[in-house]
Amino acid sequence: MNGKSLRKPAFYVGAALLGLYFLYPLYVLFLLAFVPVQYTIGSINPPQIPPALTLSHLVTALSSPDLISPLEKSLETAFIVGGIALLVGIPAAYGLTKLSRRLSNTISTMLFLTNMMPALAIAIPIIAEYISLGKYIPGGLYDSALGLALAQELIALPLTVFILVGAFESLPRDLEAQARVDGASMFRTLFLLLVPLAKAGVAASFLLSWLLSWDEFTFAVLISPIHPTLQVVIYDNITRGNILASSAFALIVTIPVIVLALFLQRFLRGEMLTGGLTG
Amino acid sequence: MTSIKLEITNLTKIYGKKTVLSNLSLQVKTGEFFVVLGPSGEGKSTLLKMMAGIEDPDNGRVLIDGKDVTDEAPNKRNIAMVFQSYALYPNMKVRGNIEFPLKMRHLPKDAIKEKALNAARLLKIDDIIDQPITKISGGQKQRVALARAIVRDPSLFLLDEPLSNLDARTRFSARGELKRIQRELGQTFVFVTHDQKEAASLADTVGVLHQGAFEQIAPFQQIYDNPKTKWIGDFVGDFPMNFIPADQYSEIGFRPEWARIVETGTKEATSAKVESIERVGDIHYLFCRMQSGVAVTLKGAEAKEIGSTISFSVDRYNTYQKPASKDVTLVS
Repeated sequence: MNGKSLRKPAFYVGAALLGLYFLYPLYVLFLLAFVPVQYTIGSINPPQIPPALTLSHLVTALSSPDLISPLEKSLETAFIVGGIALLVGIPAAYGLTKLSRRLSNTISTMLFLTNMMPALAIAIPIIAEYISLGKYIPGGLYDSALGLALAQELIALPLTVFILVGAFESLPRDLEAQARVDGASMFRTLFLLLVPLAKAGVAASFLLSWLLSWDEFTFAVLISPIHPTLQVVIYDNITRGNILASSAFALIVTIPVIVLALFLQRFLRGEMLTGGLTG
Repeated sequence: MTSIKLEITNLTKIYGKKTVLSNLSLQVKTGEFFVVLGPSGEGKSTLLKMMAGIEDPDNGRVLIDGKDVTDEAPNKRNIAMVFQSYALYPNMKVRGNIEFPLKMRHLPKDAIKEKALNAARLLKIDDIIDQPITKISGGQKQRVALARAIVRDPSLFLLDEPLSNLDARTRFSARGELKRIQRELGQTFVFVTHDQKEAASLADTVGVLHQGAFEQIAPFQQIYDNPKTKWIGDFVGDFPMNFIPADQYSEIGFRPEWARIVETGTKEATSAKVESIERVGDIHYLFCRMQSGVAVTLKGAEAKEIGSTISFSVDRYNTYQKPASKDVTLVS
């Protein structure tokens, strides 16, 4: 056999191994959530193929008053984070493309500085400010979805800007110049032409910041302790030894991620994400 | 009296350490077809972009209709531009592309539709008006870009090598059509190209750009007949102009067709050795070298043997002065 005919099977074996690596934890989660307890944590050698299925954990989890309000809180926060990331990120990224590459790279890098600080160290001053600022903002900032979202933006926004700068820079310069000559203001050029053309990058930044918020724990537990997000509720359940409900919750956390990824995948292609990394 | 449409004074553009344009000045009359001719990398596109306001000059002013627009944004200048890449909006259909400049000016919907259709008709693309940009050919793209430029009433048209992406045959017909449209509209065109055939067939006036400034501004025929510098004589024409030193301070310059091949021994004839021959249709171009080592290109009706010695006499020539440092310039 020559090397070429071996290449294809080798690719599939590699893909299968990689798939297993990512999917097996999800499968264990599925077993915990949907298999009767005696075959999972009640068993010394749990079977990999479930002998029976049950919905009782899910029913318990869903009927628990613990779930609905944290789910709402998580969703609300994630959408605010995604929305602000685009609202602020798009003009910021466009502005950066107007600067010299050197200056723009320096600024982009500096944006990531907040990511290098431990979240704990930033959270405490943020909480202090939120409590004193809260009275000026309807609904307050401390323990609110908006307050939590603004804190999470510290992580999401630098990434969003980074992706969007790459997306805008990959567009031909002539197009923008043409729109300006054709009478479009900078604002209209950006929103009628550049944003639609960079929709892959826009979708990617929204998805990424949404997911960052959905998965975020430190800010969530510190800034929103009274009305917690789903992540925090799962943590509470696990620490109380309530593994089965946690598994069902964890699955519920995973579902929106899959739905969103499927919805946005048509905008997501490798080359769109590498735009910011090349050149 | 003709008025001045576009006036540029002392325009300078520097990229890093490289001076692309230095102290360039220019006047384009209303209704004129002005061609900026120059080799690649001489800053032709940069010049056009500064007329459009896409790039800012480091020094100098740009005036359109007598009004200083140097600091105006491109969307405030009322100009139309066609890029070499056509720069069509890929997220819109042909119609959307043509209508875009009108929509930006907030015209009523009916007027937009009608004007766009008229422009499409003028360029014979009304049958593809509902096609996506990605589905049309290169020649059609060029027409869409042109339709988008003429759809409104700009005060000035800027065209950056709009024909160079077309194949030879389409380019030839597009050239004729462009000239027709310019005449029909009676508008001022500034057209950038490195192709002297385009300059010859389109231009009322040609500006030859070299080393960041116009070396000569004149009708094409005049540039061909009386190139102001040796460099232009070399650059313009299918074959470079011949230059033969006359004395210490001057050279004579002549086009291949200004010389005649004569019988050996004719009075006042010069002899040269044939080194190679190029045939264009019925005409033979003979590349010869004189005894002094100077190369000359001659035009003849019949082929000569390579290596043979011929004699030629020059019927018409220009005299060029040779200052110590500068390029040789025409003595008129």
